[in-house]
Amino acid sequence: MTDKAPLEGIRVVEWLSDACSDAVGLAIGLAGRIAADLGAEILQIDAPAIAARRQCAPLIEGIGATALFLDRNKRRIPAALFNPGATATAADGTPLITIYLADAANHTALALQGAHSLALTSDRAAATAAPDTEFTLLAVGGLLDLVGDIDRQPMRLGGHQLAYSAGLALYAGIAAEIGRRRDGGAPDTLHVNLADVAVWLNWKSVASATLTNRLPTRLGDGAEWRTIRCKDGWVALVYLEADWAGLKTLVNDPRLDDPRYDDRLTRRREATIINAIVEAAFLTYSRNDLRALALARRLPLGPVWSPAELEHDPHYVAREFLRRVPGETGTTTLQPALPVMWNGHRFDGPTADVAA
Amino acid sequence: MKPLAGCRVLDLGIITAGAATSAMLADFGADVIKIESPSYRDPFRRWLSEQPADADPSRPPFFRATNRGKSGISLNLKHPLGREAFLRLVRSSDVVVENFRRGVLPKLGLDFETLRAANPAIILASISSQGETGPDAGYVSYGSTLEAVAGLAWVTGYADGPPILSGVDLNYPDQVVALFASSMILTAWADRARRKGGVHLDLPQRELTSFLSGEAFVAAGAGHEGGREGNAQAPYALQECLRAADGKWIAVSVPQSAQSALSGAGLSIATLPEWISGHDTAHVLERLHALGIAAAPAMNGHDVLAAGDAVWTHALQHTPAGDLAKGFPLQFEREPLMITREAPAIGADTDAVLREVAGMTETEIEALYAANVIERAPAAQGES
Repeated sequence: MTDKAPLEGIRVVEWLSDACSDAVGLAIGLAGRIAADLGAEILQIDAPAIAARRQCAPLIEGIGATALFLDRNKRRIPAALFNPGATATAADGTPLITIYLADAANHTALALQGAHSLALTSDRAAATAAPDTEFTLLAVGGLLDLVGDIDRQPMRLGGHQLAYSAGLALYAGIAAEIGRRRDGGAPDTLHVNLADVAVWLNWKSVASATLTNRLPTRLGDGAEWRTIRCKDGWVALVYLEADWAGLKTLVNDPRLDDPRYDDRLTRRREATIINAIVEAAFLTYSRNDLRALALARRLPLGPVWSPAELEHDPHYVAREFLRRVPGETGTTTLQPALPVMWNGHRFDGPTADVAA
Repeated sequence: MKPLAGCRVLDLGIITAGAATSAMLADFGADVIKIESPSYRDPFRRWLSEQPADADPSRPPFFRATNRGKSGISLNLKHPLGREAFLRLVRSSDVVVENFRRGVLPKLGLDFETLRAANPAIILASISSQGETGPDAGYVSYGSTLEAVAGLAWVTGYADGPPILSGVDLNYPDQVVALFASSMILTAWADRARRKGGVHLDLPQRELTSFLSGEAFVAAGAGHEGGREGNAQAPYALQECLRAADGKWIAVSVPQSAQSALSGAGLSIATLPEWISGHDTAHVLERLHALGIAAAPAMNGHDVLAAGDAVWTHALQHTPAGDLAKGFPLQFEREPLMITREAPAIGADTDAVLREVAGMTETEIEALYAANVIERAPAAQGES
């Protein structure tokens, strides 16, 4: 067990300009949430992007769910009271390492504060005349093209996966910078942009398109991995070569014994047929049945659970991953913990309360 | 000074989740030693390119892409001598990264307590599907399995359709975990002087996938169940992929506030889909951008690579030998990340690492070789 939260003594300032895009605001918000859980002091300077997410549906007692998730354990500061040049010190007088998370428009102002580390987040690496959103950046990163049915429009993954992935990259850079500063190194400026993060996530598809004759795209019903129906919902049919024999045994349909299906390329070509055979068998099983079978037979099948169902999922309950914590509105909110344990311990910020 | 200068990482990671985590640590300046076994190699070595130029089967493109920047040794951890050699490496290392099936490391006699006995300050990063504890700890999963069991698939898909997965070509949870796991290792490294001893980081991909849908859990906890979201998303009045006259899909996000600009052009949010269907992509993009509306073509892998600097700069890189490799999701200004070393051939650095890091004598190394505990690359292949 560590004695202190690992980011104790670190100040992180989230400073978004009035022009900051929603996506950049979300990325910075997630990086700040991670730093907060790990014990950093987070100052969140009021900005339109932050106000907007507090009003973004769905609202929980008047506050947006996204804001309740991202802005836990942060101190919100009115913009008029914020002095970006101030040097912060701890109670014992030692200077705090301060990391500024800024968007492009606030970069210039902060670049003058050379004693601080700076993380600059933007939509693309180079400014363009075209406006961007998280959705259009998913498009130019090739991530929309991969998801959905081949004869229907490309589909995004649910939630804010690109903005939050950029938030993870941003936090990785912050952690690197904190290490460098604690080791006596000079501050550096970190750049994270959402377009590069999208392409980085999508590297395998880009590499396949370049290095093989196969151009990955969305295949819908014909995809090798997809969801199929079961008795009470859906299950993800996911398997690799090593799992094929076990899957055949579970499904127990002689049509799958066709020796042609021992070849992955044939299985890929005839995925629609194979998926229909497996689905017919799985319609006799519930998701809980399939969970038990997957565990017992070491098969990578995934029952599709809803977020509400997962609050009572035995595994998540045992690991105390989803907790009801005091919320901003006076009631409790369901919050996922930071998805890491340190020697079996979860960090949950310097206080358990939300921004004042 | 690189952030991980002076940090030595023993990389037991395989395929994407573990190997890409260690690759990021190498980018940040760590000395990363990839450890494979003569009897079990990284499965990515089996993925062969269809290009004749990639004839070297030991380093196919996916392997090269996620293992650049590392040295490599081949050491059988199941053999008592291999295990002892590994523990000698642990003594002079700082981090161990692994993403084996749960139970494999303890079965090898290399659980965290054993590693900590060898090196009290060791950081062990265990990347797993479900975590070290809990009733599903032994659940076998690939990335898209986790999208289903973590709640992401529930919210992904057409509003009238089934849950959808990112699929085998993206395998989203395997990509993002490298960002998060490397960041937690960086955090533990930055904290090392303030901490009393080693750390075991339990990094479940399932929890990370749920965390990245955090607001769905906040909403569900307050009775907002939600469901398949489609492409629509607050606060946009219209967000969708719409097909242009040339057949290409165009992603648009239109806020309610754009209504007046659209009106000035004789359009409305309601009529926009039909208007787009009557015009080619280039015209649609030009007109919408002029109105300040976000719009972009849904690119495929070929398009992304061709777009290059217009869209991205450091996500993909070339190795010193000119091969395409996974690049960086972030970049520093004063001291940029860069790839300085090719991915290792099998056993390329076995002798050098055992000698210089484990402190073994030539006699000890020859004994390992005689017992088939180690592999060496032919001299011609050892390029590092």
